[in-house]
Amino acid sequence: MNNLKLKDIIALTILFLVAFWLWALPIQKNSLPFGEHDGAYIFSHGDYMSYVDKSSDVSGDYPISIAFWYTGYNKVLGPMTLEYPPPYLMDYAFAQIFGGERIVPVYIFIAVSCFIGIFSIYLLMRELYGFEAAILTSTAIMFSFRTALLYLWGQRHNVTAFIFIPIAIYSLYIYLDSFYKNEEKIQYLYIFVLLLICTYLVHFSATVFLIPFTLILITLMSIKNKRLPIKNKNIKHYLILATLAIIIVSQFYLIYFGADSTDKVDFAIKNIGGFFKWIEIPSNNFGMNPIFHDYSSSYMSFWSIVLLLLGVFVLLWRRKNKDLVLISALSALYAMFHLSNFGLITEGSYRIGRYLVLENYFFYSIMVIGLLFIPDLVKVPKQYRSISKLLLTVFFLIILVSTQGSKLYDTLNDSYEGVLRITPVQYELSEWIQENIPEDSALYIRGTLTYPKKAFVQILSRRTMERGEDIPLRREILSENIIKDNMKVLPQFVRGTDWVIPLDYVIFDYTDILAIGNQQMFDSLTQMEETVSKNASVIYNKNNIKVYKYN
Amino acid sequence: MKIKNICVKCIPLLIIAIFVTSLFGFSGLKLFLGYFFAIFLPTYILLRNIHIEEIERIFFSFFMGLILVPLVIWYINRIIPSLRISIWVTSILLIVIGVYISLNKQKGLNKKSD
Repeated sequence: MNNLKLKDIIALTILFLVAFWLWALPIQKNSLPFGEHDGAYIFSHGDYMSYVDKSSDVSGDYPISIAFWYTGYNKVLGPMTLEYPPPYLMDYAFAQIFGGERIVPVYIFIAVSCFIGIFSIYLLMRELYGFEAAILTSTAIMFSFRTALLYLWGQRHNVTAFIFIPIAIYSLYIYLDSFYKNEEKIQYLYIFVLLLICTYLVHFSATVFLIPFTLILITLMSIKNKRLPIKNKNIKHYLILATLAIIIVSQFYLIYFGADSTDKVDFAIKNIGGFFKWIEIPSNNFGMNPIFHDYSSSYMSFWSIVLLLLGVFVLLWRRKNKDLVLISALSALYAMFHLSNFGLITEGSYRIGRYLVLENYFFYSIMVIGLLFIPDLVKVPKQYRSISKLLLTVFFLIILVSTQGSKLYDTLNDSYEGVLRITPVQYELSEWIQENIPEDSALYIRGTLTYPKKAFVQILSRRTMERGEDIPLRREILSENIIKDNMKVLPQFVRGTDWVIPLDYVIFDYTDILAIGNQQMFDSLTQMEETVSKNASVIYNKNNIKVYKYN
Repeated sequence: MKIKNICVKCIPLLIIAIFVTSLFGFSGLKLFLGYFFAIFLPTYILLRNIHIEEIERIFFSFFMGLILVPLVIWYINRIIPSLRISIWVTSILLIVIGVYISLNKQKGLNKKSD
């Protein structure tokens, strides 16, 4: 072992244990799944793979429960096409297979894959700025409120893709630094490309960030060292890496690029005033709860801006090779936050909002640099510098734990309690549906309190459901004119060029309404049930849940 | 202080395994062991053939294993119809490749020193 020191092992073990305990809180008290609509959607893929004991093909091999969810999304490959490459989805299946249970192991995996960015940033900061900086930044990221919100809401694949960015940039930096010191370590270039590919295989948004980040870092280091990091003798390596990347990227290319993007590209300079702001929060708050982008919720309070500015000053003033990494990170983030100013993405797109998770990573790194620079700034005598840095580290850790740490504990501990999460009787219902309702029939689900909960009943039942609020009528779920000849689809759902499934069943779930004691909702659901019952028969009646089949 | 004793690497793993088991029981332990042997270990053994530092090897094994091992399993699963069997076939295959490269390297080094 070369540079793995005892203090690293102790620090990393403690960090992992604390993070694991904290991030697993939502599944410790209640072993049923939680999250919003996206969380249910992604869960269904891994769940399906372990259920059929096969990893999904890119198209045609898809959970029936979500076959009518995003039907028109991929215009090239059709309605049964994965929206993300299989590897991350397969991890959910592995969790079920290894853990031997359907829910808890998957949620343990989700928790770990969301917080494990603390290791990624640890490696980067330890290499660049030492042990104290690594500990502080990792702790801050462990308490990242924005990451936790996406974790709870269900955009977990996006969070997991972001964890690769610090470690990928670390590999690139080691390569570039060694190149300019004429001690080239080509193996790090290979590792960098493999990690870049990992981001592509999890969520493309991380690749979209990593590419400009890489280009900016290479440009800055080239300017500083007055030459490009390219050598003729490395051509065979470049060719190997390019071939590898092309093979993997082309395999899953149509998953991303066959999709119908909701973002419109209209290249033009817009809103010049926006360029003078770090980020302009759109009126729709990127389609998220405003607390997600609120500065003081994520960075203790506004006083931390002083540390941030001090850190930026240190980076710009020193401009060592290592400082260029974080300068590049800021530049790449700035570019991402202003894509809409160039017309490259729709204004207010949620995709931009999610990059605020990465802002956490790099803002905290820069704050820590500012903090640890204070002893140099106030010219503390040399013999007291180490102790003063240690005191500042302890001081900052205490503040982090007492502010961000306690807030995160409350958030994770209180999340999706009571009727906000699928209940045991609803889980029992989903198991009954799976065993008793044919795959080529869909169900209305009424009464279950929230839209995401309905989504979880749907995917756990492994059947298609209609999750609206209207009075159920005997009809079909229909997507017109989306089927083309070359698409891999299940023939029972194809009628001409339409994608269709009959709604033959209706679920009336009174459990949540009774739990909250809302008489008006109860009366409305009873009335709805009376209407349906005229033309349907009860086939399930248990725990205040009924399932009707149309006559 | 440099650590040479391999036990020091195992103690944190043991602590984590006990902690995970205490929170989630046998299911948590099985998950931990499954990921360790099927995902992390094959990547780690492969990366032992590359000249990088130990802390890097551990971190890269974890991060790359998380996505690249499933990718290899996905390819293998196109040939072997069972996902469960594909996982273990892939893991064993990667370990064998890693050990084979390592032995070949060792042989090369021995020849050079002769």
